[in-house]
Amino acid sequence: MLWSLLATLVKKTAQGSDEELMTRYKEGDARAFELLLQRHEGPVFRFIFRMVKHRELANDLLQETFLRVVKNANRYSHKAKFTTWLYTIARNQCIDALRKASHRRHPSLDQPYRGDPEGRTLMEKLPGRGGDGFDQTDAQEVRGRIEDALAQLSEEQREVFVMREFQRLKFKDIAVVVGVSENTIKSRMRYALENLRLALADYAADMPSGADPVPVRSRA
Amino acid sequence: MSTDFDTRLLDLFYGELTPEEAAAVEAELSQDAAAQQTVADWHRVREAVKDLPVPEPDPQVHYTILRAAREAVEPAKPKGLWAWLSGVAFNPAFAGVAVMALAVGSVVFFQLNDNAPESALDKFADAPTGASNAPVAAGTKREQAAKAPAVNQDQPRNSSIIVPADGPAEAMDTANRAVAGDGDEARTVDDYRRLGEDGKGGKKDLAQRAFGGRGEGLDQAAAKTKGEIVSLQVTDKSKTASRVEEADKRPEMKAPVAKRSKSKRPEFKKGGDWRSKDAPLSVAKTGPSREKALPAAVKRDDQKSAREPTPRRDANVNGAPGRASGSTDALANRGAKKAKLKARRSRASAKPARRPASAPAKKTATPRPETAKAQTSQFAPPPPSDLGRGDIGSPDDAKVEREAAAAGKDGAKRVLDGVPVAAADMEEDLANVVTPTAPPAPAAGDLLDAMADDDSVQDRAAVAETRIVAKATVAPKIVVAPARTTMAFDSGGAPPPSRDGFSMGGGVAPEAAPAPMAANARQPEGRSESLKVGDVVSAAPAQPASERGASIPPLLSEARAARARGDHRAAVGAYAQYFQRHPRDGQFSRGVFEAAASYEALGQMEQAIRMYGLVPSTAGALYVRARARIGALRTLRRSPVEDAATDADDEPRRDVVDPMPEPPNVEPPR
Repeated sequence: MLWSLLATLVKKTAQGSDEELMTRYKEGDARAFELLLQRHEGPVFRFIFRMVKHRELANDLLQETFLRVVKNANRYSHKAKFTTWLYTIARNQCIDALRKASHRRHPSLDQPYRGDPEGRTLMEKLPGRGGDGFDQTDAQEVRGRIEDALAQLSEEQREVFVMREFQRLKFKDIAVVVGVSENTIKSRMRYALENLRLALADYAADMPSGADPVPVRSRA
Repeated sequence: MSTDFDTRLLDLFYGELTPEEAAAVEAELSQDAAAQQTVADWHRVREAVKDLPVPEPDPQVHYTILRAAREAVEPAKPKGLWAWLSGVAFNPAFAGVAVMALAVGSVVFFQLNDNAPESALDKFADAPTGASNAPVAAGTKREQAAKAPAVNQDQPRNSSIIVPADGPAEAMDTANRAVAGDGDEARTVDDYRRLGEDGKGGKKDLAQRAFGGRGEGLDQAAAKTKGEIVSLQVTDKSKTASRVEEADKRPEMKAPVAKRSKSKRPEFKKGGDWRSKDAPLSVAKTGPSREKALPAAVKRDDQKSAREPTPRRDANVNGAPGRASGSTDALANRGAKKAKLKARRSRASAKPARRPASAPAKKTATPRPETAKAQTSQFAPPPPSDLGRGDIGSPDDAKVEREAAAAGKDGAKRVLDGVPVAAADMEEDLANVVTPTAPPAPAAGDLLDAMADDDSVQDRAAVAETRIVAKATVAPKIVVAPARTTMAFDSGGAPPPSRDGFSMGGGVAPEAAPAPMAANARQPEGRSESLKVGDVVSAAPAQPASERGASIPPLLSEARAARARGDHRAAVGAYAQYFQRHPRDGQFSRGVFEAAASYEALGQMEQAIRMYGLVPSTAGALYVRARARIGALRTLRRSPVEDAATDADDEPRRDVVDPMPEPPNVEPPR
């Protein structure tokens, strides 16, 4: 882990920072943009995928995001951080897509759980799980539950959680991307963590019982 | 737990605090159990989320983005001529135009090919003098060769003679004679015609005379094998000796010959050193005699020359060493190819200057129209005496030709055996010119065979009874006569009943001039209300303008009138009569096509296809249309016409689209 991070850092240093690469691309170096794409393609895609929860749509939004980068490359300023600029574009794309498909943003617990061959609802799937250790099937189910728990978060909490937890953006950068204060970002992050803890409480043996779940939407 | 502590705790959890701040927060955290529990919960959530799968984007998106990025920074390529051509070439409309041009070009090409005989004749008539035009009496062949233009003497002759191994000397003698190097074998067409005139024109005798004599111009390259059979390659004499020596030095040169000879040739006994000129020439006792071996060798040579492509012999003109193998069939084959080639060249060179039909022909000593007519008519092949000769040859020559033709199958070709190459080629060209290379027109027998399956044609007697013999120039006018409710027309007399129960004719009004019209004009009872008794209707057959002034056989007019009425069954019968009685009519091809169209209208597709196939290729556009119809009929498994024929067999098929509603105005050249 450490070695990989160190190798990535060395590689980045050798190839130049994102801003330098972007500057080179503005000057006509297509290879610089290829390096940028290699660095950020996967993380941006995962961010978009966590946001929209649809693979094909995520691919389309990823393409659109980088095409906008290409199109607006001349407007990019070296003073701005490339990552925040890139994620700002990606986030706007996600917001537009989610607005177009607003009915998918808040799945009901009474709806049949997607992918369940027995047609059970999400409410029926949440309880009834013993803590007898995880096998492969259990791990898949846990992943499904985590995905569902993430999907139940509000957009604000989810985007902050994803950018912080998966993309490893700093709260300061997330604040820039989202356009709110850093404290607001941290508050949304706290609520996101608490809701996820409650959603995954059944799977934790040492999870404290009787904890009062945080009303997500009212306090976010 | 205050909000500020929670915020710092979150920063501590994600490592965003400086070491000093982190130490301070950890000190405070160690004293707060609730805070510890919160951090522990966050760790569990992080551990749970860490196991989530990591999706990867579609690789196609990667390349799409990269391509867009490259296109954005690279300067736009200027569109040049190549880009324009590429755009045009890949345009579907361009492809369609190209296909159309190709089709038109093919049609034009094949049509020009069909006129090959006439063009070849013209070319030959305009050609400079050849061997048969030149006086051949002066000097020997060797002297003529000296006067002749340069020829490629290095080119080996494609002549092989099978030599008995035990009689090599005999073989050498045969080859020497065959090569015709001596003075007295510088015989030309006239010489051999005279020979034929002397009554010595038998094939054997002529061949012996043609190959007779031994000359100094022998060119032979032969490799002796151990025995058996050798193949003499007759070439230029000057190189023969060196080649033989080289063959002796290099065994690989003669090995294939030996192998091939051994496997295919019959074995003969060995003889002496036949390669030596000084060796005594003797005939093997057990081998075939010279008189027997030579025709056999020539026959084998002909078979070989028929299998193998013959080298170009144009260089072997006038006095070059004559060819050793000169059978009639081989000569005819090679002559045919040469005449065809000449015809193509003449077309290519003289195409813009084609003479109009009315222009007098150059150097035509032959009544060409008669010849052409005789050629195109397959029913009466032209006699050999009518072969166009132009200004080549004398009346004596023609006489020799006639006698030779009357002598047997080979006819005039027999005279050509052994004739020096140029003269023989000219003769062959003539023979091919007067023999059309285009596919022959259909014979009347073929046509009747094709129509044999048709019931209406089988009832020819009835059709013949109903035929109206009238002048074609009279305007067709029909007066409907009372015959039940059926219209039928005849020049008079009792109409014979037709097969299908309709009256074959009720009579034509006396004032109405009988016109060429179909007799078997059926009119169903349900459809006769449109015509009343006494009505005058037009029954003019569709006829090209170019033919209206010409005399049209009444049967053809009758058939066309029936076609015009839609009575294709009667038309087919009339066409059958027409084919029988006018096999040499100028509109024969058109009649075939029209009969085929009638069959098609009747739904008898097989017969229609057969009839279309009998349209001769000399019919030009008509032939092309016939081929198109054949293709269309074969493509359609069951055409609407066929359905109509099945549904109502006795109904007149007026709804059927005639494939040839209007014949073209121009009759294609025959």
